[in-house]
Amino acid sequence: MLDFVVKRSLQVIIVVFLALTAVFFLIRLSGDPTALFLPPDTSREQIEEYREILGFNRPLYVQYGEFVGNAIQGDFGQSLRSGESALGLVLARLPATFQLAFSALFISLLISIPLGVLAAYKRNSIFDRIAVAATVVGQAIPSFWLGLLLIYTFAVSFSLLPSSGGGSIVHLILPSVTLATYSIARFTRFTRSTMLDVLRKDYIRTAKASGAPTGSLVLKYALKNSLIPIITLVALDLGTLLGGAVVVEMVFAWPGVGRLLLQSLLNRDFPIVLAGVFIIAFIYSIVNFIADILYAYVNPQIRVK
Amino acid sequence: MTTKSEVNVVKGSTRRKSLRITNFFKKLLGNWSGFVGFVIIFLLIIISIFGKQIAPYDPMYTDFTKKLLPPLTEGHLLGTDQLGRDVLSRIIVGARVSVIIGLVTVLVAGTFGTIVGIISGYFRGWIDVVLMRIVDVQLSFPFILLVLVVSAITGTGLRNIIISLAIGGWVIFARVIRSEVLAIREKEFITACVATGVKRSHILFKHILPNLITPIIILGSLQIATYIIAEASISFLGFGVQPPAPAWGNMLSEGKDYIFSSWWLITFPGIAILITALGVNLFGDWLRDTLDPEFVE
Amino acid sequence: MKKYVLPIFLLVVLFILTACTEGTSEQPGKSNNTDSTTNSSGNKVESKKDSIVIGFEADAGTLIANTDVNYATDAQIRNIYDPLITRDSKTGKYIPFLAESWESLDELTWRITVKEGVKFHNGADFNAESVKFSIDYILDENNGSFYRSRWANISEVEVISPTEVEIRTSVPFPGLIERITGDLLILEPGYVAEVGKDEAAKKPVGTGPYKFVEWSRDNYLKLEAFEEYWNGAPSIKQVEFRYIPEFSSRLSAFLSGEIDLFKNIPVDSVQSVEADANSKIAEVSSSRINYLALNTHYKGPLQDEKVRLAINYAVDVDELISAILNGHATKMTGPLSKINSNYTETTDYSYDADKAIALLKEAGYAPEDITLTLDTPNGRYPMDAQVAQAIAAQLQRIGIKVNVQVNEWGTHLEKIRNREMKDMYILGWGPAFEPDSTIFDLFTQNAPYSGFYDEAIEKEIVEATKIFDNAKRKEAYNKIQHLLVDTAAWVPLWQQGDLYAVRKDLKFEPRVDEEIKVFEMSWE
Repeated sequence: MLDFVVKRSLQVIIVVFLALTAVFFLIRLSGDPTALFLPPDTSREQIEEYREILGFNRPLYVQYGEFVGNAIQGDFGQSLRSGESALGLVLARLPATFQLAFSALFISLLISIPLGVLAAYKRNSIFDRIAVAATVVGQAIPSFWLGLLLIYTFAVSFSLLPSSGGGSIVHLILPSVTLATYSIARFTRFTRSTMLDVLRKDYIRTAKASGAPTGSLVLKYALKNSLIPIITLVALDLGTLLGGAVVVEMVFAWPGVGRLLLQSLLNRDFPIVLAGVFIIAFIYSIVNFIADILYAYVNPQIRVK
Repeated sequence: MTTKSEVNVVKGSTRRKSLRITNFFKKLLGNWSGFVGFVIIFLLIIISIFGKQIAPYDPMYTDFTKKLLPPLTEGHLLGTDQLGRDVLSRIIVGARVSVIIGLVTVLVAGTFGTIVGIISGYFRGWIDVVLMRIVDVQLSFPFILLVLVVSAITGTGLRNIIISLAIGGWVIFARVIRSEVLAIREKEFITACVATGVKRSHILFKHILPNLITPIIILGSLQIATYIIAEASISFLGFGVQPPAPAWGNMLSEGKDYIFSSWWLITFPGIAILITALGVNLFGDWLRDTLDPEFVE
Repeated sequence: MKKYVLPIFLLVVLFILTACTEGTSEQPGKSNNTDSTTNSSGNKVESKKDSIVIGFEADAGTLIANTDVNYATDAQIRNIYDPLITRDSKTGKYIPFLAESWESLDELTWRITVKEGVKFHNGADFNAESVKFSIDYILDENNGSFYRSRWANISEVEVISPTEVEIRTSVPFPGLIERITGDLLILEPGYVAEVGKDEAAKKPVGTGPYKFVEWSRDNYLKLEAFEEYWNGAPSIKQVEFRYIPEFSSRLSAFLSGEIDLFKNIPVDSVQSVEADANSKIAEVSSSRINYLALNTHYKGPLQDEKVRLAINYAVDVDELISAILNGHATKMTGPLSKINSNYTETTDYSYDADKAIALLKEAGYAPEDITLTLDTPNGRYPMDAQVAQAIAAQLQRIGIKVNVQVNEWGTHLEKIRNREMKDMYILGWGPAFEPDSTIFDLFTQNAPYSGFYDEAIEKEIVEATKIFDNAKRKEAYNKIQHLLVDTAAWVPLWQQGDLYAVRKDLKFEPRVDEEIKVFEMSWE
């Protein structure tokens, strides 16, 4: 097991490093951002001077070497626009993104697991059909559009909830519901099918035949046995949730990493983009790492590969 | 990530059912949701080919005296936008963008991913290690974010957005196809082929490739909706297909500023995306259920 | 699976229905009065008469002055820092602020006398030393100020007495006063030295009417009144700038009472605000101008003066203003708006399709032979992409085919700066008060923003920027304005109409220089 963990940790480091390298070169190919930060009446010579100060006039490999050297020490440079530490700016936004992602996760688990269990338990009932239909629709709704509709309904038409911004629980409701919709659909479907599999298992049938009450049967045995695959799926999906947060953050003006990253892309504020990519790739890899360990723990045979 | 694909090794390719054209329609007619999905896709393709002929108005024709008309006024079924253009016509013509995005991206990403998957799974060794490491790098980044970063860098426009989506999307094909190839390779008849000295290219084209067609089709059909929604999201954020060309994503993006005064601008293009994604997903689900119920993405 | 089809369709239909009915039930005449609106945290606010929440599309880049060239940054920090010279909110004329007076001693030397008795938020005194420090701050490469490029002509700043400072320039620089007004805000030297510039950028100290309280990145900036402000204590005590990038979210936050004021409301949404009982619209003709550049650097028909003239005749600016901007703009006819000093009246090429076609014929073109590209940003200026599409439609009427290319702003600017633009593009310019910066930075060879260059005119422009004598300057600029109009250097469009959504009982006068000075506002 230790061997597996060490190997996977090493892999995380390599993966993050390669991701940064790829983004570094891609972003440098997109052009020189210097002029965007200067007043419009700046002369060409002056733009040139700034490029020199910011280091954009040097050969690419020199810039890359410097970037790697600094990045290893945790220094991703300063924001081109404000001169503040890029990594610091990203880290400051991280709690907000986590808050959004985890409350969405919480909502989706709260809804999808009972829904999935019940749908499986009452298989082919009206309830089941509606639940399954809802999951199919839920997976087809673009989240940004759902966000717009929710803003329209709850913030504009009825003035019940604030449309945007961060800071309080009330602000969190609409964005986390929006973000949760896709996961609710996905988790419900998965819970339902996993439960159905388990319910078909012999020992459940035996218990049923011996006259155990079905309600407690479902909770006691079936759900318990379905929980591990569900947890694994959830861990794997956490990354997707973090990714989806970007779009939702924009629609609801949620002050998280995604919005910062998007604005920095628009502003061509490269150090922030790189620091953001680093943080996201790192977290994403760690989450997958944990999911893998979980998976390995559940299915011991894959460890020996 | 790799660990997950290893699990697929247990599965064989024997579980699959083949599907002939005649059989296909017979089965399709027997299944409502698959059929509905198919009809939606069929209509969508018709609309995207003949959109200009079907549309009641020129989607680009601007008439400032008729801007922001609500639905069902002056012959505009779904109303007009801020430049007086007919919303229905723009949705109809905009279908082409979504269809092209879905199909071309799946073609590009699928082809590239399949080639990588085959190379990786068939030859194994160092090339497999290298390719799968690249796949891991990509998978260490959420799909939508990757597409966003790449399209912010490559710039706007239909071609660039397809490139970005394909860059974001090929890995899933590579991973799935690799594990399929691994599974097929272990099959007795392949081992027998190798033992009797059958040429590599022969094994590849006669035995392995035909067995890959089903998983590619299933995976492809399941991916299309993801691409269509991703394109709409990217266009909505301003990096995708740019106005004045009509596309559902940028129609929503333009319409969001009118959310208070003109609800139809953000409603109908969104419904178009929803129905399209729904149709593609229903059909994809049916394909999987019919061809290979145990298929895992 | 087939059993699920019916429910799916019911759900979709339900979805569609709710989406539609949501729309038809719009604007139920919300009658929430400001006194009892729920605020962001859901608590009732008894009286918000001494606080204000202002919506902004973007966060400030930094809170230290003299660094980030960006409207969002500048508009916010001008409530914390004071300038030496400001502008009249209506005419745009210079008004001494922290400065008492200024004079040019000779062509290379300026003397500025500053006020006495002004204090910074931390209690330190404002004096000539702080002026020198603030200018030196811009000039010091290590501070990474993006204003430095504009101040390159400054060679030295010398403190003569506690209230007097002399600024020496390396070349005659009549534009210095404009730079001081537009760029320079006064920092507290002792504070910056004590805590360092990084800390000062997060917790700013100035002489302005508001003190810093809290800044949550991408979320809000909170300020409170500086009771010892030299110009009197502000009427509104608590200020919050809240960042909401999407316009639709901004508007819904405004209509639901979360924010009291925001700038740049699209013309088509003006009605939604006017229909609301607790809201009003404030409008001012901005000093920012929008124009259609005709690129003479690109090899195409627009290098021909007659073709440019024809385009001027074929574009119906009046129609664009009334149809697209709903009248919220002020038409321009020449390179300068009426707000500019030294503005002069020039020929107005009003819409005349026949004349346009005749001119094209003279130039040897049939309109149908011409295909032009028109680049536009999307959302940078009021209705920019729509204006571009409408211009294309207008040119199409006389037979010229126009391909509209919509760019993301960064790309648009890059294309202009790298001279990759083709025939035409839409751009805005401002705040534009002085002809020096406007004409010099637009119509000279090295300035890419108008796409127009003419050797003879450039000579005139360069001469004009060096003239100190006001009457002679005026004469020179009059001539240049006529020259630019006669050669059809561009298609002037309009001064933007700056539109603000304002809470009904807020006393608020929009300024021509786009500044948002909470000090000048009060609740009724």
